[in-house]
Amino acid sequence: MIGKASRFLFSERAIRKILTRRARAISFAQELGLRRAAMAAALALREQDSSDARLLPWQEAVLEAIILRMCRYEDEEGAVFPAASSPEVLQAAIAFTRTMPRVTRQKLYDLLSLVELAPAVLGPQRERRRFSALEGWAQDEHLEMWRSSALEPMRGGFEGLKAVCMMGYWSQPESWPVISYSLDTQGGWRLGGEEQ
Amino acid sequence: MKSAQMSSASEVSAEETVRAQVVVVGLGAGGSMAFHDLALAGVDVLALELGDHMPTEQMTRREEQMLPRLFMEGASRATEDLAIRILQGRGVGGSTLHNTNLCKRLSEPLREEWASRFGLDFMVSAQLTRDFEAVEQLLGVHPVPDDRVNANNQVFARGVQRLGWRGGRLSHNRDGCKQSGFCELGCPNNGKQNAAKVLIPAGLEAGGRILTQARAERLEHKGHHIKRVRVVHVDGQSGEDRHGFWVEAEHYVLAASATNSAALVLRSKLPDPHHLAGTNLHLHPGAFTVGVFDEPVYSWRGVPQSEECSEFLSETGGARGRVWIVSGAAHPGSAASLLPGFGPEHGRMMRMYPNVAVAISMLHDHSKGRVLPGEGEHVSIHYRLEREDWEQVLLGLKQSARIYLAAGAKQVVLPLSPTRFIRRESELDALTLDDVGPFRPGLVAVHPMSTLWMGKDARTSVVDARGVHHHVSNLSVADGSLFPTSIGGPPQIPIYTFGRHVARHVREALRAPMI
Repeated sequence: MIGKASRFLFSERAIRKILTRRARAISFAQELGLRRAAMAAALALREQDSSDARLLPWQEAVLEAIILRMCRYEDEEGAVFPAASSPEVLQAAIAFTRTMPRVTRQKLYDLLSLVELAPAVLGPQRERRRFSALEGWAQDEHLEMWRSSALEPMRGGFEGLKAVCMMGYWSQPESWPVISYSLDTQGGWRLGGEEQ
Repeated sequence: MKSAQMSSASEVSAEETVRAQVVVVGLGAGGSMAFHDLALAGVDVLALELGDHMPTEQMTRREEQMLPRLFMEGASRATEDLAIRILQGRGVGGSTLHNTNLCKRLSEPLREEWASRFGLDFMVSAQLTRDFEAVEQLLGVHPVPDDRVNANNQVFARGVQRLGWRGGRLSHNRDGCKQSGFCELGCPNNGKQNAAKVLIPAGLEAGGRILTQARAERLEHKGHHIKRVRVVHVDGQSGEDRHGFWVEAEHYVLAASATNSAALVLRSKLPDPHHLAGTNLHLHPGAFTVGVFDEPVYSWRGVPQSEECSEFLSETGGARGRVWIVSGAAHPGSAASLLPGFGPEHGRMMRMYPNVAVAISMLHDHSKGRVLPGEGEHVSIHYRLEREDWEQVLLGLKQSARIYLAAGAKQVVLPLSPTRFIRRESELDALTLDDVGPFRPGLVAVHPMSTLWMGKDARTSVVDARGVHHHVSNLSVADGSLFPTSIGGPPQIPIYTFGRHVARHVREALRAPMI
């Protein structure tokens, strides 16, 4: 009996099970931690009741700052990217968030608060400023920290914000010529340049 | 398709009680088939659909407009850790409005496995085979013709053929397709033989009724019997909840998808002595691989997903692998979200967009997650891949890279962290299990299933072989929730077919005439 139990305990299956549960527990704690931190940041920065999950003006500014870094594309020969600073890009991104359920929208907006506050609290002593007040290169460093973080919820937060920014930028018809996209196509495309 | 039989829930007064013989919750593949078959059998059937009815002329081809209208939670649905984006349809027709028309039956080995493991004798019956045939005929399923294979699929097929791997042409349900390539944003040419086009008009004609913008909030039950369902009118513009009302029926059919049907069951606190409802969630998560070619591919143009590679797919989970590889494509906003990085590096990748072919490695997953009800339309989805499934993700990335290299790609982009640019097959050897994990790569799932699964034993399954809840006599399930395991392929044909199977038993229970 003891032999059977110990065989199970040390079996690959049991170890995998334990490790999977441990990974899940860690991930859950991280998620909870980030959410709490995001809510705390939102509370610290909020200027009005957010029960209707509306984006506050300063949160719009944070989102705009993130868009400008995410979509800071460099022109190359034959490829001119339209500026991400166009007001339509920000408005499209905001409109996209408004189609989300209230609870998702609120999480996203709280995340903006955390992105804004994190450099002011956790940044190097002499550079403790809000995200929106940082130099571009420093903003990039912070975004990269989110993107490549060992904490899964931070990577998740980055991907969520990136999706909103990309939808804002790439839903603009002005951005399509650079990638040869259009809505006009009526018919497929075959190798060798043959229209279908 | 305007009909007095179909109206918005806004037209029902607050606290009014609407009555019908059968209520169908959700109008995707399974719900639409049940609605159609019941209406044609003369049953007084009322369907509740959360989304809108969207005629062809409303399919604008604009991502930012269509994604929120066609997908649950404004296309923002994801697992709780955000590592897997989940795209599920809403609206009259459900996911058949935005799918790429892939049609496959359940494989014979899987049918045999379900019959023996879960006591589902009907899985190996001639009746089920006849149902598959009838559904395929109804939807006009046929292999995609040679002259409709676009460049994205041509390069994919070329790679598979050069490697000598198992694969080939897929079948679709299209009629009137103009190869616009906007399938995933709703067909602007009415070229899909989807539920909204094939089943709903006939069901309405036969006397069925539909309430759109209607979310089933809670099933009120007494003991083992549903008494009525609480419905909330959801504003079509803002998505906000408006007034509530009641719907009463003799029988209720849940077909709101494996996530929303399970969430409704849990929210309603239906009898569940073994705490099974909402567990056993499978997702078919998919990883993207990008092949970059010298000549333009314009992956988004033409009929998507017409070729497959099944070399590494064993539907019953055998040793050959559990990865189904198909071509894919994405419109700019979605493509930009999936390509790794940001800023100038991301811009350089977007510049390659016209010259890239995309493959999706879809996992026949063994990992199991769980669904919990959230606020309103929101569903809380807990799901993490286990190690064995990450091995399959890695397998899928490597083999799809091989397909593109064999097809002549100058490089293959794997969206890992850091991004891998592969130019030679030997470079793939360096990739190990340590290179994959949550967000490495980002995963997308479009096939949630298995949360209210079928089985003979009430201790180990939620519904019986007829789709009837083991502990609630007047409740059936008719969507992907029914699958006891992941299926490893596109689910629309199995879901349509199960919708017919379930409707047949509902008719028998009501003693309505057979069609």
